[in-house]
Amino acid sequence: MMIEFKNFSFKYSLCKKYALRDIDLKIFKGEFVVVVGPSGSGKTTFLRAINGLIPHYYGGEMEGNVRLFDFYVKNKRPAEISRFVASIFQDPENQLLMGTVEREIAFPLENMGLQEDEISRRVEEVLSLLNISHLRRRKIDEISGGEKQKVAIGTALAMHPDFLLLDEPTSQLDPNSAEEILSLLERLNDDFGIGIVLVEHRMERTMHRADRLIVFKDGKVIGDGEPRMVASRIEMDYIGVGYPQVARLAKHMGLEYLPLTVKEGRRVLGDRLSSLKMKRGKKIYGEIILNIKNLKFSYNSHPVIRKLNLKMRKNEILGIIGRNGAGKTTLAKLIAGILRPQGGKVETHGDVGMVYQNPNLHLFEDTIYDDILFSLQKEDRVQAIMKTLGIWGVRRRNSRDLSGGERMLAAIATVAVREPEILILDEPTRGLSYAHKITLSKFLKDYANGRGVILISHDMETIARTVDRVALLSEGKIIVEGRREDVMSGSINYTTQLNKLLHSAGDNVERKILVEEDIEGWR
Amino acid sequence: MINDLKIHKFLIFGWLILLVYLTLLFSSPYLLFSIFLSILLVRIFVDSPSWRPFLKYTLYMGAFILLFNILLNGNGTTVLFEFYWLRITLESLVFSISMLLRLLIIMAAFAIFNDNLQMGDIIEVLEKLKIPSKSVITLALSFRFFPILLKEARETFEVLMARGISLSSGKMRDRIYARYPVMTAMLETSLERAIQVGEALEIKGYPSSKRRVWKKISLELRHKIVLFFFLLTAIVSTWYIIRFGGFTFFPTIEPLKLNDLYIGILLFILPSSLLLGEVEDDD
Repeated sequence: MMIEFKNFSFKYSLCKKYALRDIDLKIFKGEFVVVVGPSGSGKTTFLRAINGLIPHYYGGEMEGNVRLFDFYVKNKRPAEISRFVASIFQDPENQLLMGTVEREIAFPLENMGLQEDEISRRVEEVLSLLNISHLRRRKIDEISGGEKQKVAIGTALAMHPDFLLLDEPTSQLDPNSAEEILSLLERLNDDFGIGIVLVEHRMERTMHRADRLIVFKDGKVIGDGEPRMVASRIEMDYIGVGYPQVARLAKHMGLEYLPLTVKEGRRVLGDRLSSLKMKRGKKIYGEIILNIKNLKFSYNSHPVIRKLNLKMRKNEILGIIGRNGAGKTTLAKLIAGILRPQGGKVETHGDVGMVYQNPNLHLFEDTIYDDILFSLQKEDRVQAIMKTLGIWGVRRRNSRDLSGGERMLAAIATVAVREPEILILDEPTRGLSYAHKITLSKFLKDYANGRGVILISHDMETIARTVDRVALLSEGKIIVEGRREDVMSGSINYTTQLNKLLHSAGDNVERKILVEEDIEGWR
Repeated sequence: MINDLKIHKFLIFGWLILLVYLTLLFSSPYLLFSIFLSILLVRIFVDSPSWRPFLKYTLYMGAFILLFNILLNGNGTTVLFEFYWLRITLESLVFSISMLLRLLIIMAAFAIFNDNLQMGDIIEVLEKLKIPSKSVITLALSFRFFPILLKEARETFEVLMARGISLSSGKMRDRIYARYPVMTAMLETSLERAIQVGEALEIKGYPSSKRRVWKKISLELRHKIVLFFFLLTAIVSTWYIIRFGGFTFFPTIEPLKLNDLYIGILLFILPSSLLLGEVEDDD
């Protein structure tokens, strides 16, 4: 019972470069495999080659074979393969097709031609297994992002697949919902022996759960094996994939054994943690450039923003965090002037630019260079920003031919090139590899000199690495606001793996450290 | 709540088809107005959040149609206004109103249809009609295309605003130039969404020759009566056009006849029978 790649290569139509090259590997039922790699390294193509979308849905040049149990993928339609291999995409929005939760779960079962009683039994089982029975008759449009992803998993599980393929299923979820989904996958793997093939960028969430780590780079497998072994053999930071923070710290301290969890980190790093000192430094802020007073906003008489107050100064990067549906995007649109306040006021000094969650909305010209030039007809500035963001090399490509990470950086450039006084980024780390996140973080720090940046994200590591101040939004109100090290350190949900390690390591450690860059002497 | 009536999905589908047919069949402004009134009556009882934006866009388009026809179509004998080459006639004005009413009916019916039928409902309805599986995907995607297009348009407008590109100020030429990318972006994002939906359908095992519907659409007696009314409307309307012919705009506008009054009342009452097709739960 396995998936087998035999000397498999694939090149998309009209592309010069192979998306996958000479892949030879086997994945056995019951394995929990995490697939990582820099943006555009072939991870999604790898999943498509398993579920049959390649070659049946995406045309191109193919060599070698992918075998699933006793048949070749090229000989069966994705619809037939779906009863063995179920797939879940990054964005649940585009894969939920039916109106209500139970109908969505039943849809693939109807396609399998099951009897009505059998469909009812499986729908019931899945609803109760995932603890979403209360959502049974709810409309898909009305449930939260985390719930949608659970429904997508439920739909897949109802088919009783041998393998679940997941492409960044937690990238749009708040930390709590993401943890819930990953724990669920672990349970499905443990209790039911379902093989999991999971593409993820956030290593700290997934690496310790995996039996096996496969590392892709430029369409090739450059590492495959037990996660700790692979991570110690390959320079994961160098290739742009990154490590869990505790592993990076251990590597920095010269240890060979890499801890993957906070618990392992405590055991392995132990006393060494007390030697870590917080880097000191003072940033000088300018005058207030954003002043929000008693802001109110409702959608269809449902209050989303309730008497919200917030200030931001020049040179400041403000992080806005909070669970899905807390009102973060609505607040961003109110600041950007896209929505009009229904009460209170938003005072801004200078213009405001906003980058949307979906980078595709920003990119519509033939090349990304033209997309950025469309915003500002100054070639020198366009060139400068593209070089800073590391996308100059792909300037002549259409956005649809770029990886998710490159698209997002191009979308950011389309707004930032105009140098608005306040730059707002709404969940920009979706689909971004570690290397891209580092580039983004550096860019925003430079950008904030003489201006202001608002960063909305569920990615606590990027928030901690980038911002000066953090505001926690809940039910349309800012419930905590302050310096990032004060708000985030010691938090249960909204902090980093490194901070969790230090917080649980004893009294004589520096508990305000959130990211490696906070450590004195870190290079 | 007066506007929370839940109507049987099969009837909403039938109603939409009927209205599209009637709109193609009739050109008389009296009869089209009567059909539009029946939609307004339905709207009072059936929820439709996108009703307002749909009609707003329609009115923009309608204003263009009105102007275009009035200014360029100088046919007709009853001159209302004449100045050099410009000749505005009562006939061309009424013809424009008739075109606008057609557009309003289609858009209003689609607004109600889209707000009350999810993609799954559409697939179920098409399956009930025994449409082959592959055609169902194509049709279902087509039905979904329009609201997706509107959503993408709104978001693209927002993004352009967020990028600091003004769409509502400057010279007319600048405003048109600023709107050009909206069309491109809408087309690209909508096509991309359609590809992703198609991908999702494939990996969920659709289309399948083995497909069985879990909860089949069942019609109670009153639902069948409503369907009968719809069918009756279509038959009577077809007979009416065959018997009395279409509406005459040119050279002189046709006066309102007694026959028009009778059929007008029928066109108001029968399509409104949709309101009798309430269901407690759409399953």
